[in-house]
Amino acid sequence: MAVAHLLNRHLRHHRTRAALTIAAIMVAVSLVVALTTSFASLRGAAYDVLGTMYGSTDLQISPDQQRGTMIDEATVAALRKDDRVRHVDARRVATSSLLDADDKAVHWRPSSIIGIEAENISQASVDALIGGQWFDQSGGEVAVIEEKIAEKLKIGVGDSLGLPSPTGTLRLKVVGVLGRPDMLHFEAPAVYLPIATLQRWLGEADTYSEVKLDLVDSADADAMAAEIQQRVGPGVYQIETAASRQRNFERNFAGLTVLSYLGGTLSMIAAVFIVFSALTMGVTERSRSLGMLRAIGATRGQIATLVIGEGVALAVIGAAMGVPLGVGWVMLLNWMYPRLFSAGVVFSFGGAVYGAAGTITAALAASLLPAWVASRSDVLDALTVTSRPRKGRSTMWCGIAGVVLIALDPLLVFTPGIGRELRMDAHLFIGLPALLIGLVGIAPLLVIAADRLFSSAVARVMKLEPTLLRQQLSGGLWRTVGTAAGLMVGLLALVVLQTHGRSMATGWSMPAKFPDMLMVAPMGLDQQQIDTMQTLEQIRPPGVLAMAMVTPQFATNIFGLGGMMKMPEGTMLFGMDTDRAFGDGSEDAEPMIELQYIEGDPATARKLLKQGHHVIVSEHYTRVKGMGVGDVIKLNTPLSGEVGYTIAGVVRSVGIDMVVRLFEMRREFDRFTAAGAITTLEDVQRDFGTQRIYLMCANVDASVNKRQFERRLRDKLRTWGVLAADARKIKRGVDTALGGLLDLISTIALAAIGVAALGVTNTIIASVRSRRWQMGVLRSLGLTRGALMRLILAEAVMIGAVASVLGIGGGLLLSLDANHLSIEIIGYVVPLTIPWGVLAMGVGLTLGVAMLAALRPAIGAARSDTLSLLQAGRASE
Amino acid sequence: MQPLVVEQLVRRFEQGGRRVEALAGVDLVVEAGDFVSIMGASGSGKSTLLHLAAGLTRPDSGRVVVAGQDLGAMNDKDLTLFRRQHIGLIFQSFNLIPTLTAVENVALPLRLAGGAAGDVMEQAHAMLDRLGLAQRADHRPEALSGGEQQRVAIGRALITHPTLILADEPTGNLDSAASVSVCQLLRDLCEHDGATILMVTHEPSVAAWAKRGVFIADGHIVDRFDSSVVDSAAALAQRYQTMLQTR
Ligand SMILES: Nc1ncnc2c1ncn2[C@@H]1O[C@H](COP(=O)(O)OP(=O)(O)O)[C@@H](O)[C@H]1O
Ligand SMILES: [Mg+2]
Repeated sequence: MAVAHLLNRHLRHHRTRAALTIAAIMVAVSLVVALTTSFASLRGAAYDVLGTMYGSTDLQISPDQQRGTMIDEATVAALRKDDRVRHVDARRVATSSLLDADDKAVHWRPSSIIGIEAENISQASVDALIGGQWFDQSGGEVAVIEEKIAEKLKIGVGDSLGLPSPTGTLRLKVVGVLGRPDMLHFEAPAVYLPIATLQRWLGEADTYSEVKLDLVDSADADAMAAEIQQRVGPGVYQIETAASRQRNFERNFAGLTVLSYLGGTLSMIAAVFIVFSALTMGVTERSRSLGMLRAIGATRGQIATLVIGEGVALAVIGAAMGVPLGVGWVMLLNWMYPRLFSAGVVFSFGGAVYGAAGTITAALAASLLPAWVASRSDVLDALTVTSRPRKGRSTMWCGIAGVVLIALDPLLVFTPGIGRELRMDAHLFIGLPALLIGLVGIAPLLVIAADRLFSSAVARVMKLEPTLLRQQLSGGLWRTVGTAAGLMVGLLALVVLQTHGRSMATGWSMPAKFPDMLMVAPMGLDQQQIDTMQTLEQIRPPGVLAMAMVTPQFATNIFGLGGMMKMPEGTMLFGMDTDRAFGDGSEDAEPMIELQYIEGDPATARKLLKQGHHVIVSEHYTRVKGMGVGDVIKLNTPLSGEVGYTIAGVVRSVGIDMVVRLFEMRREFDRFTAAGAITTLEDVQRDFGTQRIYLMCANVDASVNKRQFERRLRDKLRTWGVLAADARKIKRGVDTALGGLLDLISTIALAAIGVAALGVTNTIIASVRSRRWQMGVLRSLGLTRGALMRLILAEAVMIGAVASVLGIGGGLLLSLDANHLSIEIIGYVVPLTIPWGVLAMGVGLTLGVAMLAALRPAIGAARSDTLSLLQAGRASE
Repeated sequence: MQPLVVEQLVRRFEQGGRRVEALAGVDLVVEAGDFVSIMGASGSGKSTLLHLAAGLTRPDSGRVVVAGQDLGAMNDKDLTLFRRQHIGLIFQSFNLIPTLTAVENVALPLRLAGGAAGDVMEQAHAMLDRLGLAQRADHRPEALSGGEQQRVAIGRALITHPTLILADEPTGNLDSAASVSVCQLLRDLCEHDGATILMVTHEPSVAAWAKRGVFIADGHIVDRFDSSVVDSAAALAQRYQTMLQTR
């Protein structure tokens, strides 16, 4: 009770400090809440979209992508008759480029052309109309288009658009326009038309590419899926149940959810360091009061409670204000981008609990050390007029412990013989926290070193007498440590994100040599069309290299890692004409692709591939599966069952896999494939039954530009939706996109630095307060106002310098660890690229923010008159 | 039972590798209702003796018995609670908690002991009233004069009705007028309220307010006196000077 009273008075007495600390916690908690709530809202929107896309679908059947065989009428008819099926929604989906009202081709990404039966138009689809209406017949040349297409083609209800084809353009009259949630931004825009019309245009009557089944309640979806598989044979159809779809969806979101939590955690850590340093200041300044309290009968427990109570009180108030503020941020976002959260704002209860309870718990933990120090405060020490600061031994031990803790993570990461999963867990749950604590441990030594090393440099830059800066920081050692640590967190995250991220971005490389032009046919091409393509005059010998793609299932599921660290389920297998790709061994046949071999050599690998059932794999495999040249990978194939493929060579990166993902060639956004392997076209066709070709590449005349080439290609093939892209530009595009994403994520690190700035203000205010009398003496001796202000700013700069050393050092070390780990996780061996420019900016920002945070107290002190400075400290604590 | 019994008390300090014997075997008994002053030059061991009597630090050898209880037998927690109940402490300066008002400072020991706010505040106001500080009850220490601050500190020491009041140079920071009022207050408490006081000072004019006194030099008690025998402060000062010179 008395403790509560003392606490209340103390907080009121240091109103500014309490307010700034609360503000830091508030902002940090609000970030957690904002990030998790935004994410929950996006997830809600995604569910909404999924709901509209699948409705009450219990089972979805689609043909196997690689084989391109469609679902036939007989299968659909059998399903319609089945009593377990309540409703059948059979669709045909194609991809095409579009012609506008004047029959002019529109250069844009290909659109999804979706043929549906009129009776299967859902209420949600009706609600999504923003103009016109849905067609009500199953035939006829009518279409409902998405808003984006309407904008791009500059058409509306009543206008027409065209679908080009070898047999002549199909003209469709637009009867309705659909709005689409932002969520689907990356999906191809869609044109809906009666299914019979689409089938007629495709020249494939009674074939379907997507069948959605709504089952009666008593039906067992899994049993039925198994039954269908058995009837048509393995691998012909892909069948997905509602449960498995849900699982895939959830699994993909799991990693992102973790990220949304982690983002705010950064600011939380910074805020907790501020709590630590605020409490430390309080304890140091009150050493006399605390001693007196002990003398008149306060127990150690009461003193400790006083300090812990302060930490918890600040955290509770900050958290209580942070939660609504976070929701406010999301509301603001929702107001600014009304279509982002199409399912409305979904409050993340888990995020709020995590943010609030996490901060309070962490603040409690952060108050333990100051509380312990306070409760140990010696009565007699406090009563002697000049209490001597004690340091030396304990700082030394802290430093040693710090170094040991810092060394832990590299040890866990680099020691050979630790299992992959164990290593990941150890890194995340032991190494990472140990590194952070270790950095705080060495901070005191660094602060003392900074006093010795930086002070003269800072004094020179700021035109100050160096002796004035001596012992500036070590006077309030632990508050400086806490503040510098808080400031460090953001910088450290920035360094890791940028270094690791940029290394990953530049680490993905195309093969050493690769054809100029990549061509993608989302619908696939048959052999005849490929042959036609070969006759295109701009293509240089040896012509077009066709690549068949499959995503085989592995016979053993070693990739069963949960959450964000999970392995790709499958790896893309590229089947290609190896003579054309790698040369046939003769002098004059120049290879189109040159790979960078880590194991094996091009000549042997080529020979082995030609024998069949051999593959070239990326380094990924050797890492993950502990395999090398000569080892056999077992694959489940639809036509030949389990087949062993022997590794013929190991290369740094197959490189083509990234391209595939970039072109959104797989519409299922629930499957990740991260690595590539190369085998022969014959192998893929024999074992996987692949007929259609989706990806091609060729060398073209130097004068050809991509657009012209694309147009010629379409004209020649008289086909829809073939895209061509400059391979070098793709690489550049990927780099730019990743860079942009990285910068976006880095704002989270900047937010943490901003939060920490509040701690700097606290420290400077405390420092000014404790030295007012001394400043008065200096002023009376003739120190100018300007010099006094610079003196105070210099302290902030030095705190920033300590934070910078910690942040850059710790960040680079962590990047090194992450880089090494990434080899195990994603399979790329990325050389570490350190973006020195960005790091320099980070340091500049840290120093700048620190100085800015000190500006107000510095000006305040400089403005106060000498006499009032001299008279300060009459009722010192 | 005697409020304070000190037997063969020895306390040594390490100072830059050199051993200092701050107390070298001190015996002292303070009877109930007594007002004893300890006089001595700076560094003679006065404060050390007082700190040992308060249980703020422990002797190297010897015994401190307060209200019949041997402090050496208590652990830190017991000692804290014991001090809260039996000992009132007054120091030379920085006695008060700056964030609390005068009345809250006075009430603090009772509040720390878990007293109900209403009760405690009433007692604290009554105490300030007695000390002539009723008008100053709601002022913070920074708004009080040095003498007033010391009187509030005395009030705080008295509020628990301790067995023993220990004061270390309570007038050390005060001018002579304020000094007299503090001394008068202490003497008054002793005569009319039966308080037992042990006070450290190096000023004969202050020591003269006590009933009895001891001289301490280099950690030894070298002389004792009785105020009824030494009838004026001037005479006491004379004796003090002689003591200092003969050592
Ligand atoms: N904590 C301490 N550490 C070292 N020496 C001390 C300490 N406290 C007191 N002393 C020494 O013990 C001696 C007595 O000190 P003290 O009792 O404070 O003297 P007084 O109060 O009479 O001035 C002095 O020499 C002093 O320097
Ligand atoms: Mg003394």
